[in-house]
Amino acid sequence: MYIPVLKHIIDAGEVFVERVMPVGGEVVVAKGQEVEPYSQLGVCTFSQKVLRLPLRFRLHKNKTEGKFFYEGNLIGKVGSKKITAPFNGHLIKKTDTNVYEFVQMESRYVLLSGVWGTVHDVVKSNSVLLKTKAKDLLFAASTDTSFAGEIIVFPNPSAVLEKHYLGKFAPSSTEGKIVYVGNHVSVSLIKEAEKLGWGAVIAGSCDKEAFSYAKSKGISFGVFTGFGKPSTPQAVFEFLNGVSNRYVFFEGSAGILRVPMPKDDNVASALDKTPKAKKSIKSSTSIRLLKKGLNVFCVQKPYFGQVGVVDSIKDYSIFVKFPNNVSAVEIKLPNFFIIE
Amino acid sequence: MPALFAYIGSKSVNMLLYKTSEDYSFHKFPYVHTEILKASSSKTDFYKCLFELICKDNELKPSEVSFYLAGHVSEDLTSISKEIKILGDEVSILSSVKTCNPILIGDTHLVINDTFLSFLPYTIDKSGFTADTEQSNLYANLTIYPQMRLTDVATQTFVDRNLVTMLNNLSLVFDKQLPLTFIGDRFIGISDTYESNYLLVLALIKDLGVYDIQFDAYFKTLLTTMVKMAGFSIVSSEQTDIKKSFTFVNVTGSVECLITSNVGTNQLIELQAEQIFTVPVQLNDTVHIVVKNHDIGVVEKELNGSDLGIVFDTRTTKQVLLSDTRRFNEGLKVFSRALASM
Repeated sequence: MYIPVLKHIIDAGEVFVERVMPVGGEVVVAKGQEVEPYSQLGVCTFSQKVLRLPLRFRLHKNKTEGKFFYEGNLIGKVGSKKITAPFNGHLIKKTDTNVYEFVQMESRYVLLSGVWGTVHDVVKSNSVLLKTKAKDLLFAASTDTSFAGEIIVFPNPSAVLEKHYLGKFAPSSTEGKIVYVGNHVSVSLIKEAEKLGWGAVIAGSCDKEAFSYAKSKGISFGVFTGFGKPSTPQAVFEFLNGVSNRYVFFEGSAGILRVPMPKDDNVASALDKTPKAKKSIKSSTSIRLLKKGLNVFCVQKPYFGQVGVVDSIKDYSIFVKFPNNVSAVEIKLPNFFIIE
Repeated sequence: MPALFAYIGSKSVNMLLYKTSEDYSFHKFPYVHTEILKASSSKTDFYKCLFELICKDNELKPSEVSFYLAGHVSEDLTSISKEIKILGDEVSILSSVKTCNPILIGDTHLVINDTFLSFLPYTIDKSGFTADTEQSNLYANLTIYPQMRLTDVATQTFVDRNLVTMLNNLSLVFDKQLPLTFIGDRFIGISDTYESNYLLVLALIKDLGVYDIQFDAYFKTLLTTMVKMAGFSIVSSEQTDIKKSFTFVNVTGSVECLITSNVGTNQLIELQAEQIFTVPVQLNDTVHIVVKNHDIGVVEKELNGSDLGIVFDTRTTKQVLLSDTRRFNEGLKVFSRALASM
């Protein structure tokens, strides 16, 4: 019985990552230089936040545009509602639209590398192209957007704990981050993520409704297994756990989460070039003969998304031993893949 | 030169390995390449690997085989081999079939004659979101894992109901001298959902008459057509024959049927309206039937034995079978009993 091979984590090899400053500044690295995730690539100064005020906004008496406000100071009203400064900054009026904007005080912004690698090229005052090694996690489904940022990995909470976990972590710790929320994500959590300003949401599974909502709102969103309630494959979860707080890249149109790997992983890659390793890689094809003892990924309810070990093979089905089951379970052909 | 004919469908790849007009074999690979497999290989490498395995298992060198593809194929697959040709898509191959009335059944589409019918499997409510969670999730998963085989009657019936709804306003007329051949992966083997196949046939065929029904799980109909389109000849054998599943007497109202066996015994079946009924006819038997009904008049037919024998449907409203719970359950019991006695 020949079966296709499914891979959730693949070695992307050498990739290029461009790190761009939001405004012109100073690049402090040179071509050929080795960098690590917290290496500084460049420095610039700019206002990182802007609060756009509605047309009905009225300036507080004795205040004028252009003036500096400390965080918390009253700047004006919209109707009867008072508006206070959300951060230190200046109030400006756009001459073309007559709309007020509250612009955060310019601050020093340091462009960090986020990855291990080598500086491949530099665009003066603007950006740095880095060569790095990466591993890609494959999504079963993802929205067609891109986002780069630090990944936060929640454990796999049940639905009951969901709000507890969300409440426990302050919004600022997840704002602008890529957040792995667990085995399943509901549409209400997607809406909450949108409010909290998360950069991207990833999970094991979701309902179609949640995916459609994320797509309609342009939210970066991906699931590893499918739709319904299947869980994240254990190997994927363990990998994500190992890279929590790392700078990663959500590439929805390619259906991957790209995770740059550390330099010592380069050593392992070098070992892959030995004759023995090369032979092993060559023999790993996209379709293989199914044998007892191989790991399989199942897409048959109620074992959807689970990985088990082949116990026996029949004509039109196999018997699989899952970690949580005492006896082997029958899975019909072709409701499974060989998993690597 | 040997040839490999491959029909790449929406759920599986069905192949005919041709050595000579009398030496050939059918093969089925119940998977197709989708995005979820791209990490393992590209579409071209996937099918190249598959074809090479089939050739090597049959002691052929892939470099000495010419390839003919049809179905869900794209031009990039021509890079698989120097000797490769694309014969056509689903509709063009199906409309070239002359030996029967072919109907191709997928999960979300049907191909009948030269018509491709597909539907949007979601109900969009006013807020713009899908209405039924379970249904939406099923179809979404079928997009990611199209090879998935449904394992319960309830889910299969839900899918079939959507397929039947597509034909609501279509009036399909078939040449009753030729068998009606239902082609699809769902017809393979006896499974937990096999009764659904018979209920689907009863729900799909509105045109009254007497039909020979065949189930073609290995796409033999399309593969032998591809062989002829490529200019090869093929000698019919037990391998190419598609076993008849049953003879379908589709009428409204009461019906009488006289069944005369080849040893001269007679059996008279008289049915009232609103019934689904099966009469077994052994596989090695040949019987002569005379059917009398106010819709079809008098129809005489010589027929061979088959899996289920003769199935009578005397219901006056044909299409509600899958949505009318009482009728559906009655029909399910009839076919479950018939399958159990096989």
